[in-house]
Amino acid sequence: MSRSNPIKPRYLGGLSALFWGWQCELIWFALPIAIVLEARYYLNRRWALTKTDFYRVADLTAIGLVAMVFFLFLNRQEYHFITTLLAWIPILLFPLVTVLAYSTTPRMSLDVLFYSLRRQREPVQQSWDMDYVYLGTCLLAAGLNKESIYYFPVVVIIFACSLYQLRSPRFTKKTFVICLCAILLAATAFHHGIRNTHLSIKKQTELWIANWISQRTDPLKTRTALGKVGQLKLSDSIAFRIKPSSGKPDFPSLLIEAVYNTSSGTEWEVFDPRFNTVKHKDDFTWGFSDTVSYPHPESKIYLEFDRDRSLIPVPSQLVELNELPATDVSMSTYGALQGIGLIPAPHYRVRYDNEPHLGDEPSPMDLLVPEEHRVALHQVTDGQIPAAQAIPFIQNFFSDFRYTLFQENIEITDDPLGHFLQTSKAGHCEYFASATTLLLRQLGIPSRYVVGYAITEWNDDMKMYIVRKRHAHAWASAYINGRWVPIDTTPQEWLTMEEDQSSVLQPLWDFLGNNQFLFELWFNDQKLEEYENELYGIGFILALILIWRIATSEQVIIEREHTTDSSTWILPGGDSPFFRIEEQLSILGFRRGKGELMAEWLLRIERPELLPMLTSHNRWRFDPQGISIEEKKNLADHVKHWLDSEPIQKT
Amino acid sequence: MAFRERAFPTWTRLTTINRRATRRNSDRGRLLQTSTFICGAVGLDTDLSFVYQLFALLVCTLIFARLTIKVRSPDVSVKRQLPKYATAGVPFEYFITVINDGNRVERDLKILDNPKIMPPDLAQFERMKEPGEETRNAYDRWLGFHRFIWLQKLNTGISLKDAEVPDVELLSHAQAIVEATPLRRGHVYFESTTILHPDPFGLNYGATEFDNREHLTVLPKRYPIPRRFEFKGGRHFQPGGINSTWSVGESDEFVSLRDYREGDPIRKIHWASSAKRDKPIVKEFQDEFFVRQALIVDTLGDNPAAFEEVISVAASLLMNIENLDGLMDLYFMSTRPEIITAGRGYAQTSQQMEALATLQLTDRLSSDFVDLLSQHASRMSSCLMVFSGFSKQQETLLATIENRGVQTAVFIVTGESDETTYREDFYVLEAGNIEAGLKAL
Repeated sequence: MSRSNPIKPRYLGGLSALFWGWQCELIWFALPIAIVLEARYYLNRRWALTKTDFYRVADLTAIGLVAMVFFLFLNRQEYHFITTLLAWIPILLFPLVTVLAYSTTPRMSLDVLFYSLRRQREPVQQSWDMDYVYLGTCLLAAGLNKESIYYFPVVVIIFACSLYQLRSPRFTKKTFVICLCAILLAATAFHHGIRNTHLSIKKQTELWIANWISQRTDPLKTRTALGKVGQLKLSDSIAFRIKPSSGKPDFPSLLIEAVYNTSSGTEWEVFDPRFNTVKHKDDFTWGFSDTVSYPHPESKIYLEFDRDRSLIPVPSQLVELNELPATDVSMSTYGALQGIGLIPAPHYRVRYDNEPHLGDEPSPMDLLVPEEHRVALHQVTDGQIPAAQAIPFIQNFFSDFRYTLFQENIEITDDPLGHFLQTSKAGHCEYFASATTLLLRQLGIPSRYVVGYAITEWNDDMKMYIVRKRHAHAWASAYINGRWVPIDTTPQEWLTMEEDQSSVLQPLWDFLGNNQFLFELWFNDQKLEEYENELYGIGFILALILIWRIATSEQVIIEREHTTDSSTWILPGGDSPFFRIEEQLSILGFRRGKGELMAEWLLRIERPELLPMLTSHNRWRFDPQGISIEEKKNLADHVKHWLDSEPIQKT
Repeated sequence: MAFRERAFPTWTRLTTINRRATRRNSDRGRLLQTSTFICGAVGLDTDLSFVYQLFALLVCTLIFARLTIKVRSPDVSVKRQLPKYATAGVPFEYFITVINDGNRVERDLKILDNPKIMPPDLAQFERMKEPGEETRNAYDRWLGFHRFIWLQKLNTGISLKDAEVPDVELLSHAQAIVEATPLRRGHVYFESTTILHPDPFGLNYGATEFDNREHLTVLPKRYPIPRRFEFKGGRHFQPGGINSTWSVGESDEFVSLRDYREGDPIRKIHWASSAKRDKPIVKEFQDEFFVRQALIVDTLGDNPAAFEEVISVAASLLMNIENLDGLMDLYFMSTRPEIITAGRGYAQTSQQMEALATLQLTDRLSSDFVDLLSQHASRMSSCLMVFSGFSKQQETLLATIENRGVQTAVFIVTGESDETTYREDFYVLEAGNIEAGLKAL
């Protein structure tokens, strides 16, 4: 139990490493780790390493950790960051644990692990037994899977064995086992309790969230900010990038994300919520038009899909969708595209031509003007305007409107659209889009409300469009000459106004973000196979250095504990039966002290009645003449008698 | 300042709570607590992993371990055996005897000796600076917590390690060896002794406390001095006498021949050898004279670090001349003249050392001190002085002694970057580098 002779988790260290490998499907890493960890018990060679050596290995581990974090960050679409990092921690810690295991140092001083302590003037007192730290890490990492039924039983076995090794000798094995059983019962009940509590909290929270919050773009319903007071501001952060293959800024200016056709109050919904699966052209390729000639080269859209996004922003002139990481693509009746089984991937490609294709024939719903808006709209149109002049009329009508992100007055709950059309004549894109859609309908042109992104910011250095979150936009779509044509009446200054309000630090964030993006682009293009020879070369050189360092380091041969062979050394008078009395008294807790004379001992433990027997015993042992057979027999009888009369009770 | 005034009581409480909490956990208990915390954080989402199961297991283990502490409290008593003296900065070991008063063998016990914790007051905190504080980061320097901890340790005066108690058999006792390092000179007070007994898993400790008050005198730190301060032409090697001695003068025991030194009586010249060597040679006899030396220690000033060094230098000199067969008068330059004489039936050097161990800084010198010295100068053979600077007061003292024709040796402990020029025969020692300075003498 003392620090000089620490108890090591023999077999348990290797077992936990194997368990981790099995659970996290990293068995080919776990197997050599387990072998190396357990081999030390069979190897009597240790390396006399200095603090500096440990510092170096710890620094290497830190570099490994940073590299791992970096790698996971770059591949965050593929891996769950925290769980993957934790699941790989045993690989990272392995060099440190191995170095410690094969060194002459029993415990890891904390200054090896914490850089701040290395500067401390006084020597660091605290240290960790890394074998148990590693065992715990393996058990924790093994838990980072979602399916195994063996986790709890195996953890319990390893944990119980570790505790058994480390138990206090104050208590009997029976007490230990009773306590352990109680712990196991309580832990089983407790972890079921945790799980059930979590499930019920989750269910309740989901209900609340569903009732109160909806931040995702819903393909079936959108809530506008019509009538809301205050500043409407979206983030400057970059949502995605578009790279036209021509290298010129010739991409369509609007990307559709969702289309709605039914207005109720401040919300737009779809009348027909059906989505139809689009036929595959090829694996990861879908066609949307019969066109065979493509007037524009293919463009790449660098958009990272995550768990919250399933709608695919595309231009209305879309002809073909390529390299989309989805099992299927479905399209709403109105032209919004949704990916099914989307997995994280860095980009997809689009081909388009000059005419809009998305969206089917208009229905009577596309002409419906809600009752509450009719009066306001009627006052604008003021009588009959021929359908041919409807578009110029509307564009002319909005020409003296202002774009604003700020609604100064009190909140308009009654008829925000009427207030916009007749009083304020100022608003954001949702006002313009809603008003335009309804005005078009009032003038007999089928129209729909579209949300998506305005593509306007061209970065000449990267030859790419940058689309920020604040470029999210809404506009109307009118059915003219058999096609759904976008009608955007929002004054053009909206982009400039939005840009003016951007943060002063935006250039800096852009610079960092763009460089990170370019690096990821480069990194994703790299193929490991291309560097195969170089990697083997580096590995070979490193292995040579390692072998050289191991061979030339100072080594110590550790002594194995030798069991004393009693047959080689015979104690004179060792066959005296009195030793049985000593043994019995030891069991009873009256052990004779080191170097303590037997007579003194018997007096100390208040057994003076044994002194006559001791005299015979001493003569048996030390009298050069020896004692007679009769005396020996007498002593043996006395001893037997005493042993029979003494109750055996072990403390 | 205001912040520190407010934070001060909190720090004292914080360190007390921390001390109590940490001693109740074993290393593996702490490891398990940390693991529980990590598992709790990682396993929060039970959909993501099974770590919550490990968390449940660890929590139950910790709770059970805590509950079972009381199952087997030890029935023992303790007795501390401290040495008479210890030396500041020098580790030593002492014993605590654990006596088994119960009817079971006591196994796996740990012992913890509790010195009286003495937190610094605000004035001391503001005045003193932790060595190497400049290497700490700006936040730590501003907060001053590390300085507080250092001062609390220094005031408490001793650093003790936990000790493991060997198995204590029935009707028997066992000795635990406690490793201790005194951190400063003076008295160190012990308040109690705690026996720690583990739970069945060895994760937590239950504590049984025994009131065990005692104190230990820690002598000042001392440095080796390679040479002896013997003064030529003093009373040494000359006949003389003081009533308090049994035998005075030289015995008839011939020791050796040596070169003539100034002051040797002419009748001691060995003419034959002088003629042979062509220079005066004297016969040397067993010297039974004794000298009466004085050591004056400067307690004036406002620099605690330099004062500690002055004490150390004085203690080193005391030990250096301890074996001389003479008298040693130890003078303290303080508000009240203090003289401790050791040797030849008077007090012992150890008593002088004890006095040095408890010496405090003073801000002014008693007006009687110079007069007293001038009276005593006539019976001094030589005088050693240890000053922490050389101002007017020290100069007057030195002049008083030297005017009486007493041989002097002046040691001056200076600050780290002191540019002052001192008299050539002064021994100038730089604070923080005293050991090297004394070695070079």
